[in-house]
Amino acid sequence: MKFIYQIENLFLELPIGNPEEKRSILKNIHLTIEAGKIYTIVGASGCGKTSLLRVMGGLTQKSSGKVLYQNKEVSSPPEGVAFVFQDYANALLPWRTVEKNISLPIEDSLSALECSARVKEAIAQVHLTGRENDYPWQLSGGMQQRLQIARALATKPNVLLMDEPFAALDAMTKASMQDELLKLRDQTNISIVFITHDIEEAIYIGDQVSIMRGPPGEIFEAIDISLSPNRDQLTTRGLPEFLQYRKLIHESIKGH
Amino acid sequence: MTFVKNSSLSFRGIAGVFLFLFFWEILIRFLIQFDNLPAPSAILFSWFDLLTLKQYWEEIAHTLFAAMLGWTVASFAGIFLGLLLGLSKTFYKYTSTSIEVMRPWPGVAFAPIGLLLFGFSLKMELLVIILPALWPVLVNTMGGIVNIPKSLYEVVASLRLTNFAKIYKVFIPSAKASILVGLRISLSLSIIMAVVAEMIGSPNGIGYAIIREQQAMKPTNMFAYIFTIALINVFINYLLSKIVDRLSPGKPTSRLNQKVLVQ
Repeated sequence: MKFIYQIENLFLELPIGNPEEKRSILKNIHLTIEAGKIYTIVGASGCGKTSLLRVMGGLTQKSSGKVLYQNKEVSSPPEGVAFVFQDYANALLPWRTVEKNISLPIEDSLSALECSARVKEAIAQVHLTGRENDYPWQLSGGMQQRLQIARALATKPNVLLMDEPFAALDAMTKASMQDELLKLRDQTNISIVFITHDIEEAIYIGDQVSIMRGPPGEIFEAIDISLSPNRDQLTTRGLPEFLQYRKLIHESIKGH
Repeated sequence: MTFVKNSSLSFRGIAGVFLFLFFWEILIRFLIQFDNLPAPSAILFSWFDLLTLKQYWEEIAHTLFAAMLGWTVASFAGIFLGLLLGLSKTFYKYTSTSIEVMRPWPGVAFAPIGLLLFGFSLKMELLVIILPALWPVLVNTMGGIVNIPKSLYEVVASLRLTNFAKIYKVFIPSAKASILVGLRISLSLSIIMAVVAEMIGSPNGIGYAIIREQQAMKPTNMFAYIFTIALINVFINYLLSKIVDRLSPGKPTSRLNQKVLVQ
């Protein structure tokens, strides 16, 4: 099986106010996801990026078309797909410690021993070691988002769907988390669909950048990024190829 | 709001009580004459006498037992129904009218029905306690569930939690503060309703004792019983606030106090 996700002719319409009137949100989306690659989706705000991710994650029902995850239609959140929400503060449980937040999705299905091993591993992956017994509100914004990512990783997902996960973070934290994400991809063969409105971020972490325009949201162009896999914040971002991609994508979003 | 918050059991709060009792004493001893309104000192001496009686303690035990039993039943039923109403739109739609009609019914109005059904008994007392004590728990539980942000529903869906885990591990804890407020209001209400029920039709406990002392023309005893209720209320509320503090670290009870008053 080559593709993890296969999306064909996806349309999404959502009611606005009264049920008869509908607004077209997504239009004729085609997208395929392979294992071990990072797919970034860029576009202006309100163009339907998040809606596309929500349909993939089974949180919103499509109107027509095909959304296959491992050859099965997605109608509810599929097993092996983890969603990372943009709003990390509301995605964490404030009455549970870091450890307990991470163990939430796995503590019922795994033995206590396995569960604690998974939690430990996930905490190490996002560099939260030493903060196991803190509560989310005792962590900084960046740490809270890392905690949410750790919770997603603890389920050992094949696919990570990330909705502007670093949008609320400062530049330094953002840069280090981008590098962590690249490292994670190299270590685990995980596929990541990453939504952002930051063009440079999209190029830097992406194996493929899809450009969305809308509404209604359409994938206007998908550009394969052929930068070396060993990326570095300073050198990669200064490469002439990088700047070329940036120009290309910028123009593509604007539409001229 | 702030003065309410600080008033519960502080030095100045207690001093206020003594000041009030002092003026009452002066008023009765020197200024006005009321045959059946005794001075606090007389009440205190009667109370000391009562403390030595086994009957007095049995009466307290009875009222406490009835109130706690009624409160427990009301709490479980209220939380269960509140969850059902908060989580199931269908159930809410079919019952919301009934609830709005039933909620303002005074529980005392059920006392005669309770008398018909159960006679002069503990069962009748429990009916009078449970019916009104149910609502604060039910309404606050439902409110707590309804106020859970939609995003949390999506989080638990994307984490693929079972329905049981969703309710037990996420929804109930996030509605906990609200549920505890309901439980607290119900507790005070349960004690009040127990006394009321005993005055009307359960020949037992503190409520009955107040009526008995009244008919025996012993106002000092009567007041001693009335103050006993106040002491029980303070004690039980203190106990509950300690338990609540245990259950929710980092959330001082004073915040709960405020919420109770806002209700």
